[in-house]
Amino acid sequence: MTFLTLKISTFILSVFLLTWVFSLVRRRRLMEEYAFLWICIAGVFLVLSFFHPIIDRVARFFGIEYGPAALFLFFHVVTLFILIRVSIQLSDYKAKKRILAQEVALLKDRLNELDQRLNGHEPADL
Amino acid sequence: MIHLGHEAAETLAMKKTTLIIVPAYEEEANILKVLKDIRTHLPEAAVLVVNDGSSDQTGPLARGTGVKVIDHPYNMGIGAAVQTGFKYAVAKGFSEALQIDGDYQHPAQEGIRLLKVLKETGADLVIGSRYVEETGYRGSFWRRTGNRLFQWVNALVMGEKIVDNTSGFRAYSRKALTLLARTYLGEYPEPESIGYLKSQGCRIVEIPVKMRQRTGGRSSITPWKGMYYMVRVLASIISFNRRSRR
Repeated sequence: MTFLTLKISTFILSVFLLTWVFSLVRRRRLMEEYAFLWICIAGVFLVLSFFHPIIDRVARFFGIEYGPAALFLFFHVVTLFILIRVSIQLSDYKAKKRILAQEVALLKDRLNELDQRLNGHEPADL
Repeated sequence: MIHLGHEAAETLAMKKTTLIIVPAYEEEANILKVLKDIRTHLPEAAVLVVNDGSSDQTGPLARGTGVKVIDHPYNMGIGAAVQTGFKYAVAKGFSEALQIDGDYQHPAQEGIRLLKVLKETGADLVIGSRYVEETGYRGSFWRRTGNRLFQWVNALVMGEKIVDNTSGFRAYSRKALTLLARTYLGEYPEPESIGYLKSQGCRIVEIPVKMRQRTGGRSSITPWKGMYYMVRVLASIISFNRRSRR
């Protein structure tokens, strides 16, 4: 009974995840690169919901007595890697954003300078 | 301000070889005092205020005095602000620059000495230090503790003892400006730039200066940010040192 409940809830969860990811891609809120990742994760959930013994076999291979513990460990590690990757990308975007903002500020100043010259005024502090 | 023809303005511009970079964020209480101080003691130099996305009157007040003001579209921190100044200095062909923070802690009169030492010693970076000799400056608890830590780490990894690693009162050579214009050293760049410039073969000199205690506005380093700041800077000093060895 409990086993069936687990199967059904995992199945519902993976279907929900898949539907969500697909709708995000459709609305262009998620780039393909990330969509692929999340579809893979939803896929793993789906497979595990049908073939439950896989968990125990994998757990035994790594010397983990309790199947679900292996499952938790697996998803924790995956989440950790995803978080680090996202942090790296965020840092990269932040650096690029800073360079852009500096360029904008310097170009805006240049534009002002040229504007002032056109109108026959001397630019500030020259 | 005296109005000059285009040609006269160009000639005058060419004579100016020193740029004073004033990074300022929410400094409406101090910016006019800072600019007046610079005008009084360093009338020959060109002045650039980098207004780092202030929401107060810092930008308009500075612009009203006739100095050059560059506005960041949003706040990015002192590191980005001084780097914008370096980029401007390099693009405009200045041969040296002096950084005077917008909080009125750096007396322009002492800036003259920094520039003089830069010329005389041929150094690439001259740091105005609060602690080289007793100059009456104490600073906050966090600043003193942090600075002692940076001093120790920089001495350990570079074999050079710089007493005031966190001082932003600095004169830069063209070489240092070029290097720092293309390398971003984080939100609080002062301690990191020492290791970085050193790794690029720059000469660093430190001289004692008098500084004022902050009167208006607020410091960029709040106490609760202190620990975070220290860890970040330490990681970066170590990483630069490793990069330079490769």
